[in-house]
Amino acid sequence: MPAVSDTIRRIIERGLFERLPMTFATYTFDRIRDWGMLFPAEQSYFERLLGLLDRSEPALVSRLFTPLSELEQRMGLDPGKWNTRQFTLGHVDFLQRSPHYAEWRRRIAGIFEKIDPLLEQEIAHRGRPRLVIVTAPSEVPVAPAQMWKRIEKAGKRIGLEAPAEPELLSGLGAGLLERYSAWLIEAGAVFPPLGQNAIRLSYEVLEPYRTALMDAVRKMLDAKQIRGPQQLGAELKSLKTPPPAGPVGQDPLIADFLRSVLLAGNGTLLINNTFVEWATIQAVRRARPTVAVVSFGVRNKVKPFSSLLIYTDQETSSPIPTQTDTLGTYVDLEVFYQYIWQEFEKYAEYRSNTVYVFAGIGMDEMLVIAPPDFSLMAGNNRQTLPRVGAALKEWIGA
Amino acid sequence: MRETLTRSLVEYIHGPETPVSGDELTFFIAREVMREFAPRLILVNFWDMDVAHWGSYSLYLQAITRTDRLTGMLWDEITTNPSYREKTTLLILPELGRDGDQNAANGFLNHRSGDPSCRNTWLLALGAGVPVGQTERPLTHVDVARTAAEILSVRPGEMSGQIIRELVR
Repeated sequence: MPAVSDTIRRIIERGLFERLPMTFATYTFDRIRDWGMLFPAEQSYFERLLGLLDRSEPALVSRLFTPLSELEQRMGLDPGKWNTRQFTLGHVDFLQRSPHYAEWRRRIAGIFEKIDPLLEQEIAHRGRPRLVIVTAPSEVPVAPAQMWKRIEKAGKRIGLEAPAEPELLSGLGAGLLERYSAWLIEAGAVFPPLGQNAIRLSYEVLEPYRTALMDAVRKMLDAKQIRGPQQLGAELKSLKTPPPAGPVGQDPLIADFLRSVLLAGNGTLLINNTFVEWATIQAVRRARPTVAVVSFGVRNKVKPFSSLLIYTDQETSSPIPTQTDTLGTYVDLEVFYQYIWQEFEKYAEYRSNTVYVFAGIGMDEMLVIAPPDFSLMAGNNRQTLPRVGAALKEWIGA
Repeated sequence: MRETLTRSLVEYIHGPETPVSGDELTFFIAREVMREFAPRLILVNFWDMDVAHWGSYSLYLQAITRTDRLTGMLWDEITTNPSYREKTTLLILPELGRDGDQNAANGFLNHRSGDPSCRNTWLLALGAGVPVGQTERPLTHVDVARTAAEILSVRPGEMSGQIIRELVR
């Protein structure tokens, strides 16, 4: 029995997992096995999910899962050989090689289409205002009218009397006492602290850790014959590296989160804005922050042939001088604004009660996507920065 | 072969066409192989657009543009090289698609979802024996090898793919 909460332990003891299709049960059990390394929002989710299945009429649960159980039989899943307590690379391999894989995904999605609305009702009942701020660096070479084009129809452009600056965000997370409720994820290191309990992940500040991690991965690749992505994934998971220095490394949950972001996120070791985007996506999925400040920077130009050196620091491996790519950064970020906004909106915690502010440092206009009762949504006047700051604090009750 | 390629590569890298990406190097080697050895079957695997995994949309677009240009140059070589001119079929196809912008994975960065945006791609065929036209029906990647075998009049052995009849006279 893993060290789970009392609620989950009782559900396991009542035999819920034995009543569920094997692929679903195994994956879910694997997710909760390391209970202490889950964020409170994840723990809450699994308690709600498993609690719902446990207390629901068995016939209803059976009807919900029958299509998946039938498909598992067609896939040739052998109960005698299937490890039901750990979702292994062998499981992944079995599923992905099955001609029924696409159908299996559809049936899993179908199950959650029915479950999610029920779980979301509980979330909506105890919703609270949330705030997401996404900033672009001052070097982006376009006027505000060319910013946020993919999402502008969802919000309102609000003029500023003075250009936006990082100090706008001072103290936004000060009143949030819950751990993991305020996150600052940035490419550089230009923003003031959000608050005492806020999580801060800076690509720039993490440079020594990133370099050490890349070095460790490269040595591992040199020493071992890696035969494919699955073996690479397993090796990366077991790779021993010291945690990062500072507050990030002192919290095992955040240190593990960071390591996962850097090792499983492809370009996160190499490109500052990819790190910012993927860390944000993962923070939303796992921690559901109440306040999130997401700050992009300028990406460097990629040096010749660097795509062949995935785990090598191209700044040191190539003698060609480093140059910034401001136009490329602009193109990259236009996509990322959309991805970040839609990721938050996937979750009931954020829908209808979140203010999104998209600002460019040094720009005198910002895009705000917000419920109609957010004070800045009324009128068309230009706003002062103190007025904007006060409206944001008022929204989250800081 | 090693001597020929090494000599050509050294001349290329120090010449006016200095490559800056893996695909440019791949193209150059493919062209040298065609000029020096003229094989009947050649598979050129362009890879630059895999940079999408790095999470830069602009680099991804640049890579697509570059691969498009290099594929055009490959066609130019086919139409001017006497060993290939008017007797070569060129099949161009992506290995896979990518996750869509609305996808739960992470958009263009990956191809993890297995959704139609990942699985449904296209094939462009041109050259000897290929009629002008467009076909919209389900084909699979394994059909390509079977079709290539038919075009080359090679015994296919145990291949699971079907011949793409539209491409074979």
